[in-house]
Amino acid sequence: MGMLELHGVTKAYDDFTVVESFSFDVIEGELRCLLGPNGAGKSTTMDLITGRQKLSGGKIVFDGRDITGMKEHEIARLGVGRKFQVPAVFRELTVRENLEVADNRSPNPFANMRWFGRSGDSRNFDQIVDLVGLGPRLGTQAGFLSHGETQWLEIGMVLMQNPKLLLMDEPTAGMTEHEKHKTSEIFGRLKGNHTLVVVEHDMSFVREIADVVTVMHLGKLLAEGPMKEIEVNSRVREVYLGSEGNGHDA
Amino acid sequence: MESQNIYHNKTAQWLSYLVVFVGLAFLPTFIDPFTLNQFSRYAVLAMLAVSVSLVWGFGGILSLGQGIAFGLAAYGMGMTMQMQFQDPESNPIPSFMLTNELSELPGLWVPFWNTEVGLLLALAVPTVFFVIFGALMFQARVAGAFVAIMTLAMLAAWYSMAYDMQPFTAGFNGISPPLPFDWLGVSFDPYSPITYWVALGLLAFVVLASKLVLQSKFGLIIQAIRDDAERVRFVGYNVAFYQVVIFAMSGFIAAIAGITWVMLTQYVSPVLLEVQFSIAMVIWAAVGGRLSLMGAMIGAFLVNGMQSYVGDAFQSTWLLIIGGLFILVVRFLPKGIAGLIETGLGYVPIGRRRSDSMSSNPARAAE
Repeated sequence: MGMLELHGVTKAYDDFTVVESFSFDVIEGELRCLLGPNGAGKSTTMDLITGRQKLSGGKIVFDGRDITGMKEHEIARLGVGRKFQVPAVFRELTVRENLEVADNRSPNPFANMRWFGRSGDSRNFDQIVDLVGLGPRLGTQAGFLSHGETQWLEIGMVLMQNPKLLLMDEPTAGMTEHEKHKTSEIFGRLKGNHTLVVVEHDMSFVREIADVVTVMHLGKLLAEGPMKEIEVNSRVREVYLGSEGNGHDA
Repeated sequence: MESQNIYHNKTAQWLSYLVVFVGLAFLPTFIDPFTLNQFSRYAVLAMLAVSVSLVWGFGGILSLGQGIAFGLAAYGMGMTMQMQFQDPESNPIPSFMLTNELSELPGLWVPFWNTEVGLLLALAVPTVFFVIFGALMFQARVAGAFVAIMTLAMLAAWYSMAYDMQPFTAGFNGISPPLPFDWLGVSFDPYSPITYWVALGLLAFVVLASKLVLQSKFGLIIQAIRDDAERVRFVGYNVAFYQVVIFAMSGFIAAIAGITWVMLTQYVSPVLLEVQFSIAMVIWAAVGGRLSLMGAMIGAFLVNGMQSYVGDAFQSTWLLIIGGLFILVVRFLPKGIAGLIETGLGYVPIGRRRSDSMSSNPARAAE
C-alpha cells in the first residue's frame, strides 16, 4: 500500500488549470523526486497535499486515510512534514527554540502551558542536531543564520515533527556546491528510514539521491521511472532537459 | 553558546521581579494616602500594559480593544458595589434609574445583588467575550492591521452602547457607588494600604503568571506564531486556538484591572471605553518595551507618573508630548526602555567564561 496516493488531483482557478488529473503513488521508505520546469505545478501539488490549497477535484490518501479537505495542522499531525521553497524558520527564536517548537508531541495549548521540559533532553533531539550539523549554533537567533544553515534548520524542524512523510520543496535552492554536497549527505542518511518527496531543479543532486523520478509538465504527469530512463526519455528531453536542462546538467 | 547577557538569564529575571514587588510592597510606610492611591492606580494601569505586552509583544496580535475587557469588568464591579449600597426592602433601585423612569430593577442588574456572583460575572463576561470575538477573528485568519481595526471598531461599539443605554448604565454620568467595596468583612477604602496591597498583589499575580506561561512551551509556540503563523500550522498546531487562548488571557488580565480600578476610584463611566484610553495602553507598553513584561510595567508607571506630576503643567499639550514620545520610541528604541536596559546590561561581564575570554585575549579586546 502506498504511503501517499494522489488520485486524479486537479486544481483550477476559474478557467486556468494548474494541476490537471495528476496521480502518483509513493511507497513507504521511498525517496521520490518531483521534477518539472517552472510552472509545472510542483509547488501547487505540495500545497494540495499539505492542505494549504483546496482541491478542485480528485482525492489524496495518506497512510490509508483520505486527507482531502483537511486543515493544514490536521494533516501535519497525521505525519506530513513540509519544508518550504523559501526557507521558513522563526527568525526571532534561537535555533534550539525553533527545534523545540517543531517538536509537536502535544497540540493542546493548555498542556503546553504546563510543559517546561526541554526537547533538548531527548535522544531524538541530539541525533537531529547532529544530522543537520547545527550543534554549535543552538543558542543563535535563527535570523542570523546563513542561507544554507537556515535550510538545514528547517530540515531539522521537519524531522523534529517525527513525520511519516517528508515533503521537501527545493532543499538546495540558493546553496553553494559545498552546501549542496552536505545536504545530499543528509538525504542519504534519511533515505530508507523515512519516506520523502523532494521537489528539485538541480539534476546532479537528483541523480545523487533519487530512487524514482516523477516529471510534471503543465500540471500533468509527463513521465515516471528511474533517473536513467527519465534522462533518455524523448518527451522529457523536449520539454525540460532539452530547453532548460542543459544548463543544470553541465 | 547561549547568550552571555544577564538580561536573558531567567533566574536573574525572576529575582528582579521579586525585588521590584517586595520593594513596592513597602511603599505605604513612606508615602501619604493620596500618593498611595496614585500608585495603586498605576499598578492597575500596569496590568493593562502587561496585557498588551502579552498579546501584542509576544502574541503578535495588535489589540486596540483591551478597553473592552477593562470597561466591561469595570461596569460589573460598579454594579456590584452599587448593589452593595442598595437595600432589598427600603431602597431596591439605584437613584439614577428612578430619574430614567424605571420602576423596577432591570433583569441585567439582578445578579449583582450577590457580591460573589457580581465579581464572577465581571471577570467571566469579558473573558468569554474575548474568546468568542477572538474565535471569530482568528478562525477567519484575520491578522496584522485588520485585527487592530476590528478590535478598535468593537471598542467603539461598546462605548456607544454604554453611553446610550442610559437607564441601565447611567450613560455619560456613569455609576458612582457611594461606599467603598466591602467583601469578606473588609472595607476596601481606596486610600488605605490594604487596597494598595490588593492592587499590587493582583499586579504581581498577573505579571508572574504571565511570565510563567511565557516560559512554558506555550509561550514559545505563541512567539513562533508571531514570527510566522503559516509555518506553525505546518508544524501541526492549531494556530487559531493558540491565538484565542492568548487573546482571552489578555482580556482576563484587563478584566482584573477593570475590577481593581473601580475599587480604587468608586466610579465607572464610558470614559473607560474610550478609544484614546485603549491606544494609550499600547503606548505605555511600547515605551516600556512590549517584548518585556517588566518593561511594559515600567512604561505604565513612568508615563502615568509623568502625566500626574508633569502633565498638569502642560494641559492639552501633554497629548502632543506623549505622541512625540511614542514616535521617538518607535523610531529609535523599538524595544522601548527594556531594550535600553538590555543593551546596557550587555556591557556587564558575567561569570568566569566572559572575563576569561577577555583576559586571555587582550589584543582582540583592545581592537
